Amino acid sequence: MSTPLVVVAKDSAEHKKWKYAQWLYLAGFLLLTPLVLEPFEIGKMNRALVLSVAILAVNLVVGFNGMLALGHSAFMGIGAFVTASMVQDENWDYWQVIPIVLIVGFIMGVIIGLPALRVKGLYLALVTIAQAAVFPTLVNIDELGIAARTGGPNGKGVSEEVIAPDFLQWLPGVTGARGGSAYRYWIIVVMIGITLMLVTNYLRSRPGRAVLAIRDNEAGAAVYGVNLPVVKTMNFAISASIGSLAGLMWCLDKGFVAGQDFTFLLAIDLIIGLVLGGVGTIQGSIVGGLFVVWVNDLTKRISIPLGLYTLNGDGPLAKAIFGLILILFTFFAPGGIVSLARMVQAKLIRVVPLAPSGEPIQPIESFDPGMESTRADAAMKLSIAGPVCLAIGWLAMNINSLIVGVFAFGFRMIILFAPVAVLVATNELKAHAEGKRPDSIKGPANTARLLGLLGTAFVIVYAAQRFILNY
Amino acid sequence: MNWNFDVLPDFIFNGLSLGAIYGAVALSLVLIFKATTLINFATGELAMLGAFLVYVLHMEQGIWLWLSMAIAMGLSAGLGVLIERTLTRPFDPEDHLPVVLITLGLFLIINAVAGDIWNYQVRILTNPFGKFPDWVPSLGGDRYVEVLGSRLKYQSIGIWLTLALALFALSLILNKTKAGLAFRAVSSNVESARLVGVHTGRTLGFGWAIASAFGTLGAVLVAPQLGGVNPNMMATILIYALAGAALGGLDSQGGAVLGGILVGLIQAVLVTWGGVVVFGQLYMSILQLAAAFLIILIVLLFRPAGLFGTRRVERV
Repeated sequence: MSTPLVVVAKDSAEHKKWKYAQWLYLAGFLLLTPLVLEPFEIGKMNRALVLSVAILAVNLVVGFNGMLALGHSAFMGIGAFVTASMVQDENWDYWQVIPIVLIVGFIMGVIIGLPALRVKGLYLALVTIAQAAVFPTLVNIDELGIAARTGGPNGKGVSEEVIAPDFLQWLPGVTGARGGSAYRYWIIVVMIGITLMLVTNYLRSRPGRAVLAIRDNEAGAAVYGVNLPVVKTMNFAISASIGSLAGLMWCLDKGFVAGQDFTFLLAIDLIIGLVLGGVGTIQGSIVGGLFVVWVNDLTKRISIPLGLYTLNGDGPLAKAIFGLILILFTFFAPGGIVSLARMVQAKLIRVVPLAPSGEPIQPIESFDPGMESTRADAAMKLSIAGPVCLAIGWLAMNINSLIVGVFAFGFRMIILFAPVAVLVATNELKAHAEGKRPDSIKGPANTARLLGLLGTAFVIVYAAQRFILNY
Repeated sequence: MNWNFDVLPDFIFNGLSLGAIYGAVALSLVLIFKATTLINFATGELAMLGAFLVYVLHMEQGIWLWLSMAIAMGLSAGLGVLIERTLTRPFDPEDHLPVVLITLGLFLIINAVAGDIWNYQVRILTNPFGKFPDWVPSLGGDRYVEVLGSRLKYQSIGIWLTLALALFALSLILNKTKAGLAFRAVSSNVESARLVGVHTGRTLGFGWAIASAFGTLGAVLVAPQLGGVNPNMMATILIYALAGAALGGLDSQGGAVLGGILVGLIQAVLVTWGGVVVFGQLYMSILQLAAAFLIILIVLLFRPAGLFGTRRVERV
């Protein structure tokens, strides 16, 4: 495949179509999650999304500012304990606590960040790792009423249950007694959406650009008038307040907070999620959170007998697998999953940027392979692969083995490429009508379109069936 | 408030012996930092692995304690070289993130593998300085000497002597051997060292080897104070060692040892003894860790280079 399957000019009608398709995928994913998954699985998804927010906070410092922060578990803990205390002891509502949590997190970020960020080097890593180690012990102090607020070693439960009000009962999955986790899912999704918007805008703003400049060239940024300590500390404090917000979401989701939830191991989980997803990308943070929880879930099911010794993933070794993943990713995929996904994307679609005149900088026609086009074949392969992998996936699901299970899960996802096959095949047929393709592409293109449409219909019917079943 | 000065020497002795151990681990951190400007977060776990090697060799195989310590130090030195060669050398030393990630990964792997093999229970390891050997005339008891009305444990004396000996050996290695000269050259300026023909990679491996050996020594010495060895034994000690290294200066070997001792003293005297005076009860583990954190913050606020470190001058 020398040229990508689809080449579009930026902001052209075609490009917009693909963008809508992308949003549709995302919306479909978000909508289906509470419908398809069991309540306990929605709980896991919630945990993953909460971790995603925390990873985004870490990313703001590590990925976008090039400083090493290893202690965001403590900020999460602060946010979670403040929330638990305000909601349980003072009878506040969760949404009322949000500004408090943001401010507390910001102040903690300044206190911890300022000493370390005045000087160059690894000092932030030093301070934050100590911070992560100290935090779980601090909540047990009896003085100053700390233990009374945090519940000390027993942890603190929040008795107020988060249940959808009547006017929100129409949300997917939010019905009946088991709808609580689905409702919390929707709250968390909305909060993540707002956080992502704010962070994206922040990174595009003047201070955000200064943050990126410091990462790329610290001396250069200083020369251009960036006040290094101030910008770094502000960025760290913003990151800390987002971390605290993740803590609030943690408390909202679990309804129970304990000091031993926010240890150094959680901080390392965040770092692993960051590397797994992709350092320095916003999508990477979200993907990272999902993968941390997912991989953790998978490793628990590993059990490989090796003669006298059984390799058991449900014990201490789960952490070793995480460590191994961390090292492997650092070596072989430093860009994380996002960079791998971009490699796949580059094979599928290419967006040609526009010159100031509004014309594409390179004519779209120059990407057209003309009579030698193999795109129709590729589209046909994509459309055939979907149903075949789906069938293999369903069959393999019955084999109770971890590796096979993972592959089965991944295989079935390939059906989602069906709409891509339809679009590519339609384009090829259009080109054929214009006389740019040989007649031989008609067969594969028609097959691709038919199979792709069937696959798309299957996805829609499947989703609708799940939707109806749940209501 | 009850200023109980009678027990103060007890706390000082305890602080000095704990501090000496923190110093050893801090030295392990500094030796790697000096050469690579990298904080090795797996230091503690490597040391813990060394202590478990001693446990296996001495308690399970019945080898003489000091011989098994020597073997374990040698093996962990080898492991240090191996890690340097395979895991950290491929990366650009100027870019901290990948190497820190590698050490964090090692932290997880070593801890989990040790936990899988030996569980998370505390296992008793013979105290190398349990009681005075027979040839020493008794001065008050067979485990301690009476000083200022307090008991100075044989264990503390033993720790100080061992570490003094180890430090002497280290200074001999660094100052009298060719490898030591190369190490000093690399830690003062990598580029120049490379230009005059020093094999920097091998030298860094040498640094990792000494650092791991020192960490193991520290872990073996601290084990009796913790009741034995267990996979999580170094988690808090690493934090104290980091505080000690920051206090002494991250690029000064002597500073690391002194910083570690100071942290031990602060912990024992100010926090534990003072805590009893002020609060009337023990907050040992809670406030001690918080004190280490505060030490790091205060050092960074007032003297980022540490007490004995060199202030770094940035040239663009």
